[in-house]
Amino acid sequence: MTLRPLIVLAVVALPATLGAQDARSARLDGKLDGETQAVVLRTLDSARTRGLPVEPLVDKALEGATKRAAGPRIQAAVEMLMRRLETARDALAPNPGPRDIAAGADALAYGAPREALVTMRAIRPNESIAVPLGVLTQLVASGVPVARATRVVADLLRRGARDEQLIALNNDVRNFVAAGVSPQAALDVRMRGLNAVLPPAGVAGAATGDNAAPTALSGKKP
Amino acid sequence: MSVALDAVPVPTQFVYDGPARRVVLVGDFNNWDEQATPLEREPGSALWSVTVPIQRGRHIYAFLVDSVWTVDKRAPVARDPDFGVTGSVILVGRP
Repeated sequence: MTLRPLIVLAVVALPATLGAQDARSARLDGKLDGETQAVVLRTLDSARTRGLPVEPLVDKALEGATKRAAGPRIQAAVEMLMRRLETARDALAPNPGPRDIAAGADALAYGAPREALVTMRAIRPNESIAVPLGVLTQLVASGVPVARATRVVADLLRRGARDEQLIALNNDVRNFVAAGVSPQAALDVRMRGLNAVLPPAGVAGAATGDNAAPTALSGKKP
Repeated sequence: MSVALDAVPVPTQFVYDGPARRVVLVGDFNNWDEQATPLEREPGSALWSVTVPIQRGRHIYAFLVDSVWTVDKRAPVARDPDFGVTGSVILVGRP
């Protein structure tokens, strides 16, 4: 490609980019005080420069506004989220989507280690892992130790578990915990149920349906 | 599943059960907009509902019941270290 078409492309693309930026900035108008908006906009610029998605940052500022948080608290929350987004983006390399990056940042906020994100991306290199990361976050929020939750979700991904099976696992664990069962016991019992329908790691895809025949590992812990 | 198909929003229903004059849904899927997503009351009942398209994944939300922040009592609670106001959590997968 010669220089001239590149310049034309840049000129054509620039207004659209600026338009998107204006739209995001406009969403903050009237929601934040002047100083907070200025600080948040600077953070958005910094995020753009680093190649990070800015939508989660705008959402975080709007969340703070809706929750009637003080300006400095909103500024700090947006800044901290940008750092988590950067860590998540790097952990989910080479080309994570914005939703995966945001889900990774959430998991980090709940104490998931960076390595957990790296592991899940390695297992699912070409599909979104927003749901598995969301399930990881919720399992930890339910009281499952982060190391155990990470192992379980990674193991289920290796064995071809569908997102819906992961969500069902999380919902069941939550219901058990609400009924007074310990988070670890709740996870153990549901894992026994999933062991009956998922193949062992390495042969994922052979039988991942809810009605699949039990495998040789039925009833065993992973 | 391809990433493109994975990005298709999933219609998701939210239900609030209780007396109110107005109930609004706010969350990370509607810009936390206090005007965007009002719930409709089922005639003759105290049930309010709305169905909105949401991307798959984990989302935080709450109801504004007569302008009062209210968590969904049927959903898990999301702790909020940023602002100290707990919300509700929904994990959205394929329907």
